[in-house]
Amino acid sequence: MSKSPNNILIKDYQFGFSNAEKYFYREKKGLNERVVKSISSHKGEDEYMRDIRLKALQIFFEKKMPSWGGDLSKINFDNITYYIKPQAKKGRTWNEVPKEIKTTFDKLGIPDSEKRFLAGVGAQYESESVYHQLKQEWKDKGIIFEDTDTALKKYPELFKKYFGTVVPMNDNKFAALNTAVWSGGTFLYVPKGVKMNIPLQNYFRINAKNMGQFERTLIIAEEDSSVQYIEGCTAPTYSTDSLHAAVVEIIAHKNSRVRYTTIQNWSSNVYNLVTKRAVAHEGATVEWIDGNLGSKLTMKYPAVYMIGRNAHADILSLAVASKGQHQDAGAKAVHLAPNTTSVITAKSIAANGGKSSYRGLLRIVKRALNSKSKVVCDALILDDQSSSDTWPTMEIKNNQSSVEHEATVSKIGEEQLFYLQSRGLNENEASSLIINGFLSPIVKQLPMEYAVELNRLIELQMEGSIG
Amino acid sequence: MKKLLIDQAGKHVVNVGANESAEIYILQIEHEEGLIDLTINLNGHHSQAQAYNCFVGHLQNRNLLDVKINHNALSTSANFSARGIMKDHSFGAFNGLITVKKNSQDTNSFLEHRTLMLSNEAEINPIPSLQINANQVRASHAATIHNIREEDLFVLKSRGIPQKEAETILIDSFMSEIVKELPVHWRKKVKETIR
Repeated sequence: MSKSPNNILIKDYQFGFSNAEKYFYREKKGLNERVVKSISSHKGEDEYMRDIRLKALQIFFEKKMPSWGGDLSKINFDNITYYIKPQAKKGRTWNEVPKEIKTTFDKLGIPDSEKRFLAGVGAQYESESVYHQLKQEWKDKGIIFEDTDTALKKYPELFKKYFGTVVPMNDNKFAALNTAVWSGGTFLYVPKGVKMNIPLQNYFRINAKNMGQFERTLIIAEEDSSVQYIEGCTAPTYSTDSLHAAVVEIIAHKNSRVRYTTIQNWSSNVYNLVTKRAVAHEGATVEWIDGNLGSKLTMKYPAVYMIGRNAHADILSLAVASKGQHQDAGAKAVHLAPNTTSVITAKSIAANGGKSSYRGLLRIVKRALNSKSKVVCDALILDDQSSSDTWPTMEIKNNQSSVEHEATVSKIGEEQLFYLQSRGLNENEASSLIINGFLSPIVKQLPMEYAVELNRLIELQMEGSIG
Repeated sequence: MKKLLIDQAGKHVVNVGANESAEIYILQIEHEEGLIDLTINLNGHHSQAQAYNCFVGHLQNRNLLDVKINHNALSTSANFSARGIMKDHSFGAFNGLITVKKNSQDTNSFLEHRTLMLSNEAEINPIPSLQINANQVRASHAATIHNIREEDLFVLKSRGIPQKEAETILIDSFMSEIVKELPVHWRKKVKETIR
C-alpha cells in the first residue's frame, strides 16, 4: 500500500479561543525569591508554607534540566508569568464567577456536565481556582473537596500530614518548581468506608500568554473508601509557549480504591511536565487513566508505589501525537511489598509528523515476593513523517515474581483495511474504525460522556491523515 | 551467508548488505566480566539477520549484553531471540535497541528476551527499546521474567517424577528452544552448565 499522505488536513483546535487578559493581580515575569514571597503573601500563607516554597526554589535552581526525554531547551523560565490571580474572591456559586470566565467554562461545557453526572466540580482559571463545589449529599458524608489553597487554611493538620510525602520537593526539577510556586489544584479527602460511585471533576484552563500553571493536587482515600476523579485541561493557541508543571499526590489507604482520569488537551504551545504519583497501601487499588491528546511536549509518567501487601496498580496510558507534538508518556510501577500486581497498558498513535514515546519503569524489589506485572505497549504510526519510540526498563530482584512485557510498533494492518473496505467502508472510515478499536481498551474505561468526547477528538485529529 | 559466533566480551559490528543474510550466536556462560556490544547493520535491500543469545548466570557471574539492530534500508528484517537462566548471585543486564531509520520502509523486526529466575539472589534488568521513524513497519519486542511455574512442577510430580528431576526437565525444555539452534559444540557446553 503506498498511498500518498498528502491529504493531511488538520482541523482547528476547537478550544483555541482566548479572553482579554484582565486580572485582579498579575505577577511580573520571571522567577526569583521575591516572586515566591509575593505569591505566598497573596495567599496569606503562614511561615510553614513560605519556607517550604523558598527551600523548593533553591532546589529548583540547583537541579539540572533533564537531559533525556523531549526537547526542553526552548523553555525560557524568565519569560513565564508564575502567578495570575484572575479575581479577588473565589465564587461559591456559579453565578458569582466573573462573566468572562464563566463564558469560557460555559463554552467548555463545565456547569452543564456538573448537573448531569458529576458529584462535584472545580474549575481553575490561570493560577487560582474560581469555583469549587461538591454536592450536599457527599458533603454530609464527610468528603472534603476543596481547592488546595483553601484546604491549607481550613484543614492544616490533614494537609501538613500528607503534603509532599509522595512527591518530595527534591524529586525532580519540575516538582521543585511546582512546590515553589504552586497555586490551586484539588484537595480531596474521602473518609473511611465512604464509596463515591460518581466521579468528581476539576477543569484547568490557561488563558494568558506565557503563562505557567502549577496546580497541586492531593487525594487521600481512607480505609475501604473509593473515589473517582477526572481532570480536563485546555488552553488558547498562541505562538509563544506556556508551561504547565503540576504535581499530583495520591495516598490510597488500606483496601481503598482510587481512579484518576486525565484528559489532557492543551493547545500545541503548552509544555506539559507533570509529576503524578500514588502510594498504595495494603489491598489498595490505584488506577491511572491518562489520555494525552494535546500540548507541545508532554513528559508524564504516572507512578504507583505499592507499599502494602496485595496492592494493585492499573495504568492505562493513551497518547496521540499530531503535528508538532511530542508525547513522551508512560508509566511506573514499583513493587515494594509481597503479592502486589500491576498492569500497564499503553497505546499511542503518531500522525502528521508527531512523535510518541513510551517510557516506563517496572521495579520489583527483593521483598516483593509473588509479584506479578504485565506491560503492554502498542503504537501505531500513520505516515512516514511520524515516529515512535519505546523505552521500557525492568528491574527484577527476586525469583518468585513473574513479569511480562511486550511492545509493538506498526501501521494499520492492510488486511484489516482490506476487509473493512470490502464491506463497503471507504478508507477513512475503515481507518477510523480500526483506530477506535485500537484504543477501545482505554476508551471503554472512561465515563460515557468522556468516551464520546474522546472519540470525537481523535476523529478530528485523525481526519484525513491516514496515508 | 555470514555466520558469527560470539562468546567473548568485546565490540562486534556486523554489516549485512543487499540480499545477504547473517546468523549470529551469542553465548554467555563463562565467568565473564566484560560487556558484549553487538551492532547489526542491515544496509541493503532484503538484508536479513537472525541472532540467538543463550545465557546462564551462575556464581557471581555478570552477563552484560548490548544489542543494536539498525534497519538502514528498505525491506530488511531481523529476529533476535534470547533465553537464559539466572542462578546463584549472578547479575544480568540487557539492552536491546531496534532502530528503524527514516524511509526504511517495509521493515520487519522482532526481539525477545526470556529469563528463568532460579535464585532469589540473582538479578536481571532487561531493557528492550524501539526507535521507529518509518511507518510501513512491524517492529515488536517481548520480555518475560519468571521462575519455574508451580503448575508445571505439579503435573510432573503427580506423575511420580521427583522434584529435582522435574525442575531439570522444565529448565531443559525452557532452554531447548534456543539450545537447539546453537552450533553443536556449544550445545554440550550449555547442557553441562545448566545442570
